[in-house]
Amino acid sequence: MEWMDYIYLGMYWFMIYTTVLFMLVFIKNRKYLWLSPEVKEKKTISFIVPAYNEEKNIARCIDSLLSLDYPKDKVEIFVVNDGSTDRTREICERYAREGKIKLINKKNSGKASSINMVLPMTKGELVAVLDADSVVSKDYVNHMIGYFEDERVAAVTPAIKPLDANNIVKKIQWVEYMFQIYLRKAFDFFKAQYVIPGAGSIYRGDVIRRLKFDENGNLTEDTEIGFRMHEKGYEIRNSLNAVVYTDIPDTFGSLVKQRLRWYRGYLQNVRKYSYMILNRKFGNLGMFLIPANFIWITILFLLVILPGINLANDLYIRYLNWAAVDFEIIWPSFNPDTIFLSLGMYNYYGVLFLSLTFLTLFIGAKASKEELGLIKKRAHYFAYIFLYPMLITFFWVSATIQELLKVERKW
Amino acid sequence: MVEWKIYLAAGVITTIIFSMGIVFGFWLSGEKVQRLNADLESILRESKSMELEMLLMNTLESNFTCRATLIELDKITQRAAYLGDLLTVYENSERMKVEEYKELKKDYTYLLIRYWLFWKNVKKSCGNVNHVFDILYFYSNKNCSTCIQQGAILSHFKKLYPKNFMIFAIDGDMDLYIVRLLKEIYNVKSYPVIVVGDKEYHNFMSKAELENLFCTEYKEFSFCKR
Repeated sequence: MEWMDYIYLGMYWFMIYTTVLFMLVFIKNRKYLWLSPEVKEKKTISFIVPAYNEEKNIARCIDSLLSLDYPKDKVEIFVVNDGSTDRTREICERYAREGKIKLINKKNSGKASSINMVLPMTKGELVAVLDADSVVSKDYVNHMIGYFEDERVAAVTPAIKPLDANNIVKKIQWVEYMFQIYLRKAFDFFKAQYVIPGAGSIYRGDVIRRLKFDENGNLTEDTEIGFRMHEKGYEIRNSLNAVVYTDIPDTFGSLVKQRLRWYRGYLQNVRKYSYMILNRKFGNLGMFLIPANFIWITILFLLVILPGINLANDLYIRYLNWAAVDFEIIWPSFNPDTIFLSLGMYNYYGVLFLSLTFLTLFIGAKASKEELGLIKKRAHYFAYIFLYPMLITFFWVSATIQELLKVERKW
Repeated sequence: MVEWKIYLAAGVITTIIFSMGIVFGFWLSGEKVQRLNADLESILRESKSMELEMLLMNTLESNFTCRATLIELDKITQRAAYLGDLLTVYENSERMKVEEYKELKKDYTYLLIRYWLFWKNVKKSCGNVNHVFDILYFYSNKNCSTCIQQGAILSHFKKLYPKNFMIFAIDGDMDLYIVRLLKEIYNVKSYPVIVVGDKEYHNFMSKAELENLFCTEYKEFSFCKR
């Protein structure tokens, strides 16, 4: 074996390890997967919906909040029109006139600043943030509030699903979101969730009013607040029963833009909270999850670079050989015996990873109460298995390079 | 709180699943070598009749069996060359070479040298009626920057005229007495070295240089007519 083989084997070991670890965490806690903690008394809840140019989505979002299966006198809805230039204001004013929502119109200043502006106005024991392109399920709040009976819990995240998956870009994300639902719950059991998505996460009111969101150019305020909650010793929980549907990017361009922001935001926040890394005080998050994320990013990078070097070397030798015979074309003869000779341990790992991927997807489907539908959704899985690894590598590598080169951050 | 037990359990399960890949790799490598060995033995068995024919030809100083021997030698050399291709695939693609492979490669080298000698004897006894070029090619995987290209050029000729070119590629790094002896006979100090007939060439031979060389002996190749 050559040095490169040892690197590959090390990477494979780690990839299998993290997959097995999360599966074990999941299996160990299977009894609690869909358990919504009991509620002593229904708490008051204030929703904040920041909206910027959301004329297509805002009514749908507000309507879903108005249809919540929750006592109306315990719900207040704030919509922050963040300087929209489309019909968002007009649509919201209609709801405001009917007394269904409280509308705050302001100059465009970004999501974090919009939420922070409204926070002091909220009276709810709980505060929920809901992106305007999202829709909540009727019973979503009921499944989440029970977690707040535990005083240590400062935030609860829902299970987020795409609103639709009608093209290849959305199909890839559909599988990814299913996988994320599984992963988020595993992180929850690990007490290591660090992203509190804007699609329907609920915060303990007094905590979020005190902490507020970071307005200082943070690309992912939902990750920053997650890390800050860990810093303050709070717990973040997740409910698989509480479902929120969200609009997802429908073109590669918009997906790239969104992911570069997410991943750069993650790197930005990890740098900000770097003292958590390998710090026992921060438990699984500090001791395993953040370092493991870095190893994964490195692995993704190497999985592009190493085969790339091999391929370039192989092509160079083939070119030299071809040049040596004056570029004469002699078609290579197919030799079936070489197939058997070319098989080896890497084929075992290939089959193993494919099996683990499907096993994970199966668990993900179970967790998100979705039908796996391998035949029906074959296009989703095909795209996910063959395109997603390349995309995610591209996102992480680009985000890392942009952060290292200090390319200007844009929300 | 970090639950070490679950990390440990995951580590143990991972190591078991992971190790199965390495065990599988070694097992498969052994299976491949066994299969290559079986091929080698089959070639050796087939060549026994031919060896007797050679002995008969040399003992009686008769060329009565020339035609049959030539056909058989050609057939068996093609099979040996095919086995050589498979060995190259194994050597280039196998990440976990088993010890038995070294023995296999030695036996294969003996086989090649034996056939090379057969060709020389047949040509001496029967004459070069089929215009066959027996090429002894010394290469090194460690100390040769042009061997890959030299091999590609020789393979090119072999693919163009499989009946006319018998290439016996000897790995000069092999620790075998017969290889050392041949290297001494042909004064192999660096690589590549090509021995065509009785003439040795100690530098990289381009396609054009080899074409000129072959055309001086046999002008019917298509490349001689350009």
